[in-house]
Amino acid sequence: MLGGIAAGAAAIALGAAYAYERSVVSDKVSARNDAQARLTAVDAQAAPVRAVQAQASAGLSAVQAIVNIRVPWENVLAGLSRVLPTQSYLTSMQVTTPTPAASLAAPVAGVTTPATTAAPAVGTGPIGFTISGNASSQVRVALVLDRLSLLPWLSDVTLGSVARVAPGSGSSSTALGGDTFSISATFQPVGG
Amino acid sequence: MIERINGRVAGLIAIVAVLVVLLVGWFAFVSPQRSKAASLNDQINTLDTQISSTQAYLHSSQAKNAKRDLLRVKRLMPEGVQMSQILRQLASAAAEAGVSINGLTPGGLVPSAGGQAIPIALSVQGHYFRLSRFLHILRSKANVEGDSVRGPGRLYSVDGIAFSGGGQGGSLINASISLDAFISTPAPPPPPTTTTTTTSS
Repeated sequence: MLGGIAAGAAAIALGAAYAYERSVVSDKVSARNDAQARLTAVDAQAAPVRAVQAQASAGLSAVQAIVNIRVPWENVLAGLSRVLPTQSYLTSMQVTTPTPAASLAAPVAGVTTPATTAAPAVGTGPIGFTISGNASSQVRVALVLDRLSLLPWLSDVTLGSVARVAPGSGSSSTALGGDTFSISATFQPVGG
Repeated sequence: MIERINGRVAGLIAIVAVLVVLLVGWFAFVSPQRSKAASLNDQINTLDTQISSTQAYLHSSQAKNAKRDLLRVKRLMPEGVQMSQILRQLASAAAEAGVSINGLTPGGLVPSAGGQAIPIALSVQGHYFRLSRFLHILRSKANVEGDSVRGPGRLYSVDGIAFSGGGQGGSLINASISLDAFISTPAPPPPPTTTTTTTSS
């Protein structure tokens, strides 16, 4: 008899515990659904902001990539004028960057860069740097070669030709005579 | 048989029975509900963390500045070619540097980083250091320092320079400049190649 009463009491306690836990679970389910709804709403707010940020970030990366390969041409020209010795003058110059902006094209399957649409190249092929000019003597031309070798963005400085010009012949720049020269080099600038 | 079970044994059996009922009831009904509640609690905590981090992101300077950053990038690399803007900026740079632009020939768009490049063949006349200044102004139109964009204009990149006409006396130089401006619109995908097969009988 006593055992029956105890078993009944245990069953009632269990039932009460079960009912309580079920109510807890029910509350938690509703809290989770509520949190899920709030998250969906916040995500909906954040999605366009994230998209804008991703677009800006991708654009900034592209700009950064282009900026990194840009040549500080004013430094190139300033450096060139600084090392050129007296009694030597340039009559022409051709410099081409080894990394044009189109070389940064993201590879797209099936897309090839249409070479015919690009503006005409003004450079000199793989060497990248060619100058011609005149100097008062061949010793001056040698000095030009030595000085050009000092420039950090030039390597393999090579004399193309040097030719004596008689006084009074040729253009105004060679009117006093001297030597005309042409020099080529590999141009490897530091971007900026 | 039952008569042989004395009160003490009956009590023990009752206790065991109650224990069995309690254990079975606990493990079969109550405990799963508790586990479910704990699991739901974890889910709620995870969701709350996600909500907090998303709200923190929305209030962060990163999110607040995203639109401004995008506008800056669009200024450097607009969606369209906007050749009139390029002409104005080049003319302004030339005037500031003291050189004259004698010719300008835009080429077709070519794929480049972040979109496409507009190759421009530029013919400029001026003194050596004024040309140098012109190139400096073009480079200063847009620059990137760290994560921030500086400069008032579009992004230009000079691929090459060729000049002639220098020499003794600092005469005027005629320079050909290979310039690139940029747009953010990516190159269109290539048209699908169609293969025509003819059969003859």
